[in-house]
Amino acid sequence: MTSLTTQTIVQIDRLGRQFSETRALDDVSIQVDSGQVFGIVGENGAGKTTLIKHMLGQYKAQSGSVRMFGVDPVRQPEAVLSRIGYLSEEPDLPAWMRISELLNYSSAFYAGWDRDYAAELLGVFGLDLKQRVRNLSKGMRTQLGLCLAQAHRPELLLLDEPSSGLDPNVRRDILSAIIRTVADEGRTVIFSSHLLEEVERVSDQLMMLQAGKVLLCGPMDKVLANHHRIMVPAKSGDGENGQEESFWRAMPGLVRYQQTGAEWQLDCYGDYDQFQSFLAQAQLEVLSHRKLSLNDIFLTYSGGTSLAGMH
Amino acid sequence: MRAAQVRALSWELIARNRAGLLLTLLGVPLLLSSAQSVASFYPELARWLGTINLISVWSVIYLVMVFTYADFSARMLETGFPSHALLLPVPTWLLVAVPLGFATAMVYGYSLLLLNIILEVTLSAADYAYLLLGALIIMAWIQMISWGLSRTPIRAALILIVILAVFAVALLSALSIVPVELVGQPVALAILAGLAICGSVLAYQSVVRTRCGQRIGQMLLWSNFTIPGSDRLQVSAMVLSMFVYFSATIGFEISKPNFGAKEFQMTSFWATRPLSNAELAFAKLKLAGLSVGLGALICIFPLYPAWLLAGYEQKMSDGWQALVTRHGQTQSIGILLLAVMLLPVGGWILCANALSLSLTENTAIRNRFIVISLVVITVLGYTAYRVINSAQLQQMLLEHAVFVVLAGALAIASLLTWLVRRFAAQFNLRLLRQPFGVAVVITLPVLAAVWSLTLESRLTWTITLLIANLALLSLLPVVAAPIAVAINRHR
Amino acid sequence: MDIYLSPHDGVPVYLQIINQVKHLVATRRLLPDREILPIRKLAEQLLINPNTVARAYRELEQTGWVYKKRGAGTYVSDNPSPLSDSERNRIIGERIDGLLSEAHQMDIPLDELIAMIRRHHAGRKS
Repeated sequence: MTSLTTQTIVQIDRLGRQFSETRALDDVSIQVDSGQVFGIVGENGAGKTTLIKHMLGQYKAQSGSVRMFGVDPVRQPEAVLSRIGYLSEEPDLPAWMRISELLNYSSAFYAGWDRDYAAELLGVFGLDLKQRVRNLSKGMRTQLGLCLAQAHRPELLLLDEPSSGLDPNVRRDILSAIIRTVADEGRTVIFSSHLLEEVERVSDQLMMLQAGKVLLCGPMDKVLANHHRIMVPAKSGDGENGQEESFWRAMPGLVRYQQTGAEWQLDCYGDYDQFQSFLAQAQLEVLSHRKLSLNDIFLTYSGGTSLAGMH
Repeated sequence: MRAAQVRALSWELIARNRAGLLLTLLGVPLLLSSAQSVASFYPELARWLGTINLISVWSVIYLVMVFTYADFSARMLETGFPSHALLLPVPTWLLVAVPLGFATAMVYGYSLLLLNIILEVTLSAADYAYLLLGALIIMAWIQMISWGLSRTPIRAALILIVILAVFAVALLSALSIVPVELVGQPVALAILAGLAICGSVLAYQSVVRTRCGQRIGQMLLWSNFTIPGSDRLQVSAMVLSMFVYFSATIGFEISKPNFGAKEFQMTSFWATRPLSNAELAFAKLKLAGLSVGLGALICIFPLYPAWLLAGYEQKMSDGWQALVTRHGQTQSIGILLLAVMLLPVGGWILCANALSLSLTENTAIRNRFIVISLVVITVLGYTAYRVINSAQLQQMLLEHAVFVVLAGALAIASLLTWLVRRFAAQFNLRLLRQPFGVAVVITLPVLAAVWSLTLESRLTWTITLLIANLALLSLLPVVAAPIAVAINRHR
Repeated sequence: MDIYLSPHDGVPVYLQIINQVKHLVATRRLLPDREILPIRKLAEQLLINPNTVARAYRELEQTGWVYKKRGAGTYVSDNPSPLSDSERNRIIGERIDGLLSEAHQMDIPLDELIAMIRRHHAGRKS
């Protein structure tokens, strides 16, 4: 919830990263304030994990800068990591330890470790303390990782595709963790996911990455309110000689256009009135108009004839 | 807070390889004391005592491996700093200092234990300091290599060879127990101190790099390095002992579905092929047999030219003559053959047993087996230790030896019966035909070789028992492997 | 408090909450001066961002449907103020727009559509 004094938790300026041939991150700038749920979406290989690893100090910025809680996570890993709870898709837990051993082990490293809270979470998940980590299923491993990430009540919960390939029960546990964290005064969540419905539900800030570049970044409700799908009739002969390309390119805010049968499907980003007047000038009748869900928005940017680079 | 962090990291260092630590701490003193007791029976073996003692030096290297704080990534095929630790809110210097300091202390303490109590070497005051420096250097450089050597293994190997050579020269010159002085004492001390500082700083730097995502070096087979000994014959013995040690590792590796895999569980690709369990098991066993055989050949054949080059021609022919004078031509050839065969047989036992045990992919069975072996070794070693220097009890020891072998055979037999009963559905008598054929082919020539010897009856007895035990151990995996595959395949 | 979110109808989540709370109050399933679920509880129940619930509650409070007691939660107002004209027009206008474009696609003329609405209205009353 919005606290009276918002702090900047993450400040990333013009971050760039090159892995041999691939440009993993290109000029990425974001700011995350305390109390926010910041969702990161993007295709596989868009740079989500790379970005999160920079926040953890696991990658050193090649260009640009990363500041977590105002300090450089590479220079002061201890100061940053002690305030973060982190969970990745494949949690990195020492496989040979028993759950009880792992809890004891981890508690030694965090000043604010809450034994009762950890025990309560394990109880909720129904994990057996005597089990070894390597014998746990994927879902149980995620639950254990979730418990470890929350037990010291971190100021920032950082989740890297936590829900991938998990059953609805564990996904619910993850969402509850996010909500519980952010419901406490001033605590922050950053998470990346493929499950856009979940992102739409819990995030209040959204960032969409594509091939290392930021496509969209802003408040979730603004993103949802400003994406429209408009259907207009197609004239006979449209789509055959490609003449209309220059016409559509002139339309402001158009992200993607494609012909479906006898209609044009126009996906646009911006104010609806502006599109209406443009279409009215071109004497095109609006057959239907609706707002896009996050899922549609994602598909709009990632598939088909996308003009995303234009704007 | 800091104290708690150091405690937790130290606990992790001990706990992550409890079995290995236990094996080193218990096994080596037992090996040494039983070797001494054997030597008291057969004085003609006493001259090999030095070799056995030196072999135990390998256990220090094993201890170094136990305390090497690194994880192997099967995906990247390289070792690196354990990734879970990188995300702990601990300053990098502490992450480096705890494993380095702790391992140095353990290796140092263990070396002192070996040198002072078991090998009974008198050390000068300065030697203690040099040994401590030596332990730190070994740990620091090995950690540095496993944490962050560049991805150019050849360059890394060259660096390592130079470092090791300098280290060996300096340590050997510095220690008063080694009658070698290649460089002056002050120079040696300076070299050792320099190596220790360099190694520690580099190790720290590699973790700093790893922590912010710079590349981790390719794995290097650092465990292949040898400690330069004064006697080449003893070095040869050490090489042979390493062969046996690596055989076990190879067995574990072959049982995995693919090289470097973390799990022993059979992949569904193999589990769904139209092959019987026996065929699957024997394919693995054949591979194990081939690698042990080839390994033995690689180890044994170069020894002859190596000895020739080292000028051992005279010593060898003298030894041979002594043997022939004592036991006659035929028996000497028999003894030599036995000695040569003992190596691949030992390798096979370790390799094939490790293979079939891990094929079950059942940690409970594997752990139970390891516990049983530990108990047997302990009983045997303790008995041997009690009998040292008491000639009246020699006969009793023989009876004990019979008892131990019988008990071992009974235990293995009951384990097999239990396995067969438990997995009766998968167990087919037809499976046993081929293994027994193999067993007969292996056992008969060995037994023939034993019976051709007309040594003192006691020695014959012992050798027979030894052979019987070895044969039993060699056969066990052949019978057990198909069952193990069945357990792994049909869960 | 039974609130159901439908993720696919394009209506923002906070508006869905506002509308359903209003509906629950109007049908007297939420009685005046009774406490409604705390923000955190409702967020955990619906698995949505607490900020969204807070926003819905804030707007409900501004329009007088609920009131806050200092440090004691949120309560249903005694006499909720009726919807403002502009808001009423907006909500109904959106529905009418949708209806009109559907009717257009199915070739239903406006007169027929109005007749249909009248018939439905009569059917509901009886």
